[in-house]
Amino acid sequence: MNAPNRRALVAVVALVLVAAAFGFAVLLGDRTTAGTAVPVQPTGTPADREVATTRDDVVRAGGDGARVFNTVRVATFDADYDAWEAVATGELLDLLRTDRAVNREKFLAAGTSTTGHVLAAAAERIDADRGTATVLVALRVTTESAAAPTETLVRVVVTVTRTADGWRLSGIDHAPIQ
Amino acid sequence: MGNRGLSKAGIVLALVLGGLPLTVLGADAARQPDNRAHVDRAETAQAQTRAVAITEALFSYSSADLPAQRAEVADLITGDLVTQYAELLGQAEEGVRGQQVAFTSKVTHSGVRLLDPGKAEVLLFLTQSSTRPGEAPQSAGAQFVLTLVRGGSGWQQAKGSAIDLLGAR
Repeated sequence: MNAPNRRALVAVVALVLVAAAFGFAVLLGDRTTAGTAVPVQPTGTPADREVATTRDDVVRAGGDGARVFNTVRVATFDADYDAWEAVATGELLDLLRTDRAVNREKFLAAGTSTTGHVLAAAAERIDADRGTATVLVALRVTTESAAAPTETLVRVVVTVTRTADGWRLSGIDHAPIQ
Repeated sequence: MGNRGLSKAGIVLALVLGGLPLTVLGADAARQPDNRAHVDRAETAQAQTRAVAITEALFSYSSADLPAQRAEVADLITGDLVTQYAELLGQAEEGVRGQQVAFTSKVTHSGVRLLDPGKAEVLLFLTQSSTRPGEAPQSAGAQFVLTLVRGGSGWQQAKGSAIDLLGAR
């Protein structure tokens, strides 16, 4: 396991723990806005349209992935964790699978649920040739525990990688305050 | 930095940013058919660079010299943002009354989500550090979407026209 993957693991665990540190309320019907948009045929040359489609795909995958990774509830942990695995790829996915039992134990011990809602997402960098991109996502995360629900604004930087099944999350981290 | 410091810094940032009215932006702005973000790489990079420069200029200033700050940013903003920013500085002035505070802002990440012939929207992650005499600097993060209006000769002369604080209060 190389260093970036360790960071990815740390990020995943950190997301759970950070989420657990807040408190929260389930927002029914919460969906990433980009994921529910009616696809619009971009204008321009065929090459331009291809780039535009790639851009929209990576932003949607990044935004939806960030939402999924900030959504995990005590009552539905296994389904939520399945969703994490469904949007992840590569060694991030391997790590999720390897650490599922550990993460489950930690999360349920904390007893705090979170629901993420995407406020804005944008591609920072797209490398279509290599099939990778970096996407910035700002979210509102609602946290629920024994205490009153709380909301917090969260910003994450995700990397997405092209797979045979479309773009998937290969890394996620909080944007640090530097 | 202890928790108290972070909390204090957060309050400072809230004071600085809290006065801006939200601009309602289409949630699906990125899915417009004429969106050239990342399609036209050169213009995307220019808009991104300009957005970063404007943002850092808007949110870096000294409480001791707000008139100078108003003059410095006058050429960087237009439209609704002129009023919004005046309110913001007014609030900041109120918030730091009698104190000497220097704010320095650095954009840590930025991404263009919309680029059309006249307008761009850029998502920015910002770190703002505040320094008071005799105290350690404190930092806080913020995130917002800055709308740019293209200049007559290109994105290098673009001005900021709106800020969407994405629900920050």
